[in-house]
Amino acid sequence: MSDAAKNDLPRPKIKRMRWPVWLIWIVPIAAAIIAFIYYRDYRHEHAKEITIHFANAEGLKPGETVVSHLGVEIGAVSSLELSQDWKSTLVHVQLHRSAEDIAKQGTIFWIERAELSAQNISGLTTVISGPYIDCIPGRGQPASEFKGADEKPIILGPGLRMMVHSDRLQHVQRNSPIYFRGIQVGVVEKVELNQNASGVDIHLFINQRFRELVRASSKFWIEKGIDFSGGLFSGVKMNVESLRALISGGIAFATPDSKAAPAQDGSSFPLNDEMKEDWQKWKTDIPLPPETFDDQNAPGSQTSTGPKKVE
Amino acid sequence: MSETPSSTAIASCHTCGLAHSMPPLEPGKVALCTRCGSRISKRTRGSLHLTAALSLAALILYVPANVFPILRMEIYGARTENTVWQGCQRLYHDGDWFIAAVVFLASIFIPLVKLLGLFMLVFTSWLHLRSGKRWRMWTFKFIDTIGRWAMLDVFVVAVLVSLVKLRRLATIMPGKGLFAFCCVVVLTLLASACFDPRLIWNRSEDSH
Repeated sequence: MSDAAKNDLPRPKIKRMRWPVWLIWIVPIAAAIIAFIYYRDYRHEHAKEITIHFANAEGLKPGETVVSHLGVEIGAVSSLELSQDWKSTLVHVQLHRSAEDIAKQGTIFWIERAELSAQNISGLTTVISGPYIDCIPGRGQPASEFKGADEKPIILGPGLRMMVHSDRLQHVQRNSPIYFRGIQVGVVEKVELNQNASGVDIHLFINQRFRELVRASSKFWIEKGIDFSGGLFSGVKMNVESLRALISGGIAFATPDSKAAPAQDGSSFPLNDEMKEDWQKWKTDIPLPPETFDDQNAPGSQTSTGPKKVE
Repeated sequence: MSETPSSTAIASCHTCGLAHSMPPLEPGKVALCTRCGSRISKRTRGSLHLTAALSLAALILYVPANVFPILRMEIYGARTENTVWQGCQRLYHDGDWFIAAVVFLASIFIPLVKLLGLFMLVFTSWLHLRSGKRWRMWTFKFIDTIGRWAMLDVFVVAVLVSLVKLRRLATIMPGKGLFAFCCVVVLTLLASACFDPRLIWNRSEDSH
């Protein structure tokens, strides 16, 4: 094409570019920042890996089963494997950064599953969602290997640990409630045969707030839950302590007055089969300490959904 | 090192086709069509910058897009999170190997090929490489064609999320990786749109 023909063509408008070209390099920088945020997020969620030994890891799924404490998710199961002797399982857990301090010596992990038994109905949400791992934080040195508990520990927090003796076990099981005037003040921690098999030792736990109620003069008896007594002329008398006691039974106690010394840890009492009428008429006059936050989480309190706090 | 022809050349407007005689352009200037006002010359260094920067950004975000789950399902409280790769594996194990292959190609393979191809084009143009022009042109056409099929699953997820809102029973939520995934889609689209294929030929025309 000749130059003359070229000059016939219109000339384009020439303008300055509104933005300098190098500004586009902000985009990859922004991308790098986003990628870094992703990475930080990842680090946040995969802060610390711990291993928990469980006798049985049935129902746990890598990537799905969560570890939670007080209902807050603090980590997730990353992988499962058998121990070398094939007798237990190793559950690897990734803890979130915010919760990595929970992994300390003394921390108790257990698998929360649905429990449907006479004395307890709990963990119903896990029927659908599958089991999860719950824990109670310990206070020792940071650790990464834990031995998981077989079942949810019952007793936690400060309180009175004592024993009652009985000839045979009836109406009482692990986790049975202990009542004072119909109010639950503790639970049965453990039930076992005594050393020469002549009777049964029932280990009791009384919440710290109520420990003053147990005096050397206190009387313990079995709360059978439902009590029928009938006579030809008196009619039928039915006595029910509480629905929970109705199903699983429990232990109740009464204290005549505050003259006797408060019971010490490890002290033991006989367990009576029956309550005597006058025990119920005792007017105990023992001041209780105010309710604290720990009490709310301790077993036996009205709001309790399970023991969660450890001291 | 302006890529615009040093002598006056003829360029036609992309939009309305009007031919212009192009004077040499200084860096930082653009030529606009006298008739319709659209940009005529993209043959500036800017094209290379744009493509390189956007491709780099896409490549950076390609990593979180594939590492993090893009889909999160909760059915009765049981939840699963799936990355693209896990989704492929799952599909393959379920016997849907065809769908698995489509998802793999569309979401993992093609985006990566596209990005690497763009980098190659930018780099060779920047070096003013003379050889392999036809091959590079073919690469560009290939990238342009397959590019529109890349990362279809963003749309799949979008549809799923909006459809499956059974509330309490089952929810499908976009996972963390989806944001990065979308960014990669948009960035690769822009990057390949910004690349001016004339850059492949340009230098040789300049030199003679």
